[in-house]
Amino acid sequence: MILTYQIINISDLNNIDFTQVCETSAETIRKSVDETLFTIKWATEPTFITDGTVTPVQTLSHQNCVILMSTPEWQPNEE
Amino acid sequence: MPLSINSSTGRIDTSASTVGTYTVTYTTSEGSATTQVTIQDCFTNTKSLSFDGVDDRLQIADSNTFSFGNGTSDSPFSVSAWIKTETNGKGIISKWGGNPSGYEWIIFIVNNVVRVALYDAHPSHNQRREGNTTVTTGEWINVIVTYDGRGGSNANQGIKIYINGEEESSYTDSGAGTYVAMHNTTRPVQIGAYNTAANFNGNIDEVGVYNAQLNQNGVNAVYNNGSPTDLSAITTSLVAWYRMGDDDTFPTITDNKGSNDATMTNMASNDIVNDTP
Repeated sequence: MILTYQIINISDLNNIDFTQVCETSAETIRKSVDETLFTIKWATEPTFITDGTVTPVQTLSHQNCVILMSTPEWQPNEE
Repeated sequence: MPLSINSSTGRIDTSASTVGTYTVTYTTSEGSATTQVTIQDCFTNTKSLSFDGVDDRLQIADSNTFSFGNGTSDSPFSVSAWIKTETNGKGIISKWGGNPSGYEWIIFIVNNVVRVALYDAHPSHNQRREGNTTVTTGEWINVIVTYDGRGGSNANQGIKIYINGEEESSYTDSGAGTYVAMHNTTRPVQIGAYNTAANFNGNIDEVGVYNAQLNQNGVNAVYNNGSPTDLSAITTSLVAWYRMGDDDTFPTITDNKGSNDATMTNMASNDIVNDTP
């Protein structure tokens, strides 16, 4: 199954229908270090994307999302 | 059926019998004799979990089972897992992070080697040790970490890291702040991540947690010449065992030793895959 990864503004968190994405809930999402962004992933485009309720900041392949996650903006220090 | 005998051949049909020990009595015209027959489960490993390196992880509720310090002294523990990393593999298993806050221990991949870090309640009070074996992406390896529970300012010297049954030939030790012992916090355990980030990219299989320091014999038994095996048959110090897909039903990954089941978080049922060591 090919998944699409998207970066979303934290201000859109309440507009995410978690039944349409792989993320379990608002409590389990991965946020950027500064907590202004978070990730979602899906196989079928969610209606909240299709109808423009949420406009992604960025749309990525899995490989490119993994690369993004290793940057300082997303990767907290161990300590 | 408890014990099934093929009426034509007189042989025991193991596939139709229930696991257990039975007394079989043979009766002939000249008398009878008894013998014990034990039907055992045959260990098979056909599944692992695939982690995406973004937000996939297993979440296990906090339990004293996974805490090995009381703030004053540490106690021994060990962790074993089979892993296959892709790029940027990070957290293998941890009891570390914020919200709820708790900083106890992390086992992870950093700079392509295995690092273990123990924490005295705070991120900046730690004892760390990392091995020297480069973890090759795309290859299954067995990782076993043991700790003798010594605590104190040389706690990292009580850590041993084994890759495919062999202890690392050299270590790099580091630490920060003051370390006396780990604390028993409410932080959940995570497999495939720490701190809800630093997510593992690749596969993890057959994760065992032990409340003792495995010795070389124990390590050899777990590694089993490169073939995953029944961890419950090796040592009574096993306190948690996750088969990572075998006999599991999404989203629950059963603890086959204790009662601390794990939940697949931000994952899908097809993250249970047929890719094993």
